[in-house]
Amino acid sequence: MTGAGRGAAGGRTWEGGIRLGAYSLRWRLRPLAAAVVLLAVLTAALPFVIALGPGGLDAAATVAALVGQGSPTERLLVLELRLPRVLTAVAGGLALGVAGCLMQTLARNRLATPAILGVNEGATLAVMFSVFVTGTDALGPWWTAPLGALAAMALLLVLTGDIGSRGYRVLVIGLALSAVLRSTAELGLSWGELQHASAVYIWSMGSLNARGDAVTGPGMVLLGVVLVTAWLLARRLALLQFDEDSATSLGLDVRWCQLIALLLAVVLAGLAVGIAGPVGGPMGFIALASPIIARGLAGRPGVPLAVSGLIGALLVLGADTVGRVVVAPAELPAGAITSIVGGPFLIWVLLSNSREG
Amino acid sequence: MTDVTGAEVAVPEQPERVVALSERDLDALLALGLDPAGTTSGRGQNDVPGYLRERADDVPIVGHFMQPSLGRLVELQPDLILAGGLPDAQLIGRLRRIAPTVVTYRADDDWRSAFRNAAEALGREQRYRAFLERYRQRVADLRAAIGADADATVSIVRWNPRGPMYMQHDAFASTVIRDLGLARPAAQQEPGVAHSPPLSLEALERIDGDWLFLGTLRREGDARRALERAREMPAFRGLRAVRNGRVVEVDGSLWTSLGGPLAALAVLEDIEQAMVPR
Repeated sequence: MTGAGRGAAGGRTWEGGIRLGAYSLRWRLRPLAAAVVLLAVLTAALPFVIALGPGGLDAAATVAALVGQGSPTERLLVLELRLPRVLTAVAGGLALGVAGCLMQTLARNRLATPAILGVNEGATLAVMFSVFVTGTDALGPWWTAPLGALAAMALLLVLTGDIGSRGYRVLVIGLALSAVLRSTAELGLSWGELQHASAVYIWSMGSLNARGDAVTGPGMVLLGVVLVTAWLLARRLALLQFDEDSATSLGLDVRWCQLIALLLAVVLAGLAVGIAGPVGGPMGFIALASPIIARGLAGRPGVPLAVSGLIGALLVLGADTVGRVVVAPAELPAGAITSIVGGPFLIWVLLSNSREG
Repeated sequence: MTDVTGAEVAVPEQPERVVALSERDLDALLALGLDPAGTTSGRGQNDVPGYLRERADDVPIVGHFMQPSLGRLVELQPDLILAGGLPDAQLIGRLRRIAPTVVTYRADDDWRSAFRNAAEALGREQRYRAFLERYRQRVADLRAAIGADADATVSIVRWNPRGPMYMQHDAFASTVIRDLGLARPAAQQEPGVAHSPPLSLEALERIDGDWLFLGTLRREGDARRALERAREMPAFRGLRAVRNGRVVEVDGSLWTSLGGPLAALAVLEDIEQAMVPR
């Protein structure tokens, strides 16, 4: 029924599994252990992160407020102001980490992120339209941005027709589409009224201050569905790491699998845009770094979707918390923090890539 | 009352602990004789705007404009929040959970309507009307004192690191100039409440006028240096206002801001200093 101990090359990847008739569930212990530890760290960190900042809370008071105890002020601060923000960071990071992992697996390239598909530019354009079309200087509701991301994706699929080998066709046309969408947005901003432009600018900074509308209701249901679908696909996705012929000979419908992975990545990136703001600029680092760190923790082979997601959640939560605390009472946007860390990290990836040949 | 977002806000009868999240709201609070419980720092600055500093230097800062710290706000326990100009519905939604929040203006509303909304929220319409009367009187007196210059054209310019930008026809300082019956130069008639894009130094004649009121947002920094450099250039020295010694250096954070009641008085003060013969 269960078996453990048989490793692949080098004997480092421990495995376990259950077989019930024709169905089997197998897992490798190292990614599982990594996921459990990360989840524990994330859960344990929450009360401390929520307690940080003005208001004079400690972790105990936070936990009390979380379960409905404490003064009304404490409950307001914890339940209605800080918790939505923290959940925004976690959900946004989760979506970004998994989206990044899907893209890197699909393209077999550590530098591939959802940002190169025009997702971010599509979202920015939609936010800009929401400001201009309404004629006021108000930003549209949170789902404006994901809608723009999906529209960009639809346009991309129409333009490419076929996703081509390793999705390269999609990636190349995606890059071109991003450029077109970005210049359209910039043209719009320079034509538009200044106060409209500044509303869009505020959105584009990637701050999580007062974010939280997206983590209630339909957004979270959608996120859950997409994450579960991705997880169910994980074993097939692992085969994408081989070249196309080998994957096909192992019984994988490569094109179909690539298309689904791409779709899931875009929906996740679009959700992340709606939850946490633009993913291309400042937040793009999360989608890039999470899968790379996750592979280090979970070991190869395999597609560490869950670990990537959890790393992403921890990174965004960490960036937002640092930004909230360092220059208090003012705030640095989480996006600014990830940008500062992101540059050196990208250089490190490029250098270690070239060493690996 | 109903605020500019269309929301019905239950404001307290006599609000006492009022937080002003924008410069304009802070200005209105002070003009209506109320001590603000908290405010945000001005655009591109780390403190309240210079022209309000004397009256408001001990007001707690709760973050930057458009990025207030919600935790600090909870600590202050306000009974009313004035949040003019905020574009972000999510942020406004959070604010409303902390205290009744009145959005007093949209970005292209003028200072009077913002002032009226603030006064209504605070239940101080009496003082509001008295202030406007004082302003009207001040404008009339100053207009008489300007005398010979009453049909002069007045150019209003903010220098930024990339060059000079003139204020558009309906920008705050432009409306004060208009109240005085003064005209803007023909080149500065474009509609809008903000400023032109930075002008190339080749188009410098567009900032000329009988009078040139000129400022930078900050006293030091890149904009200041750019202005110092431009002052040395023949094109700048050739401007009519420069040749006639009618360039007036003003606080850019006041003259090119969104403005408010006290800001309007401060602009009148600057004009009096410069244009009324002694």
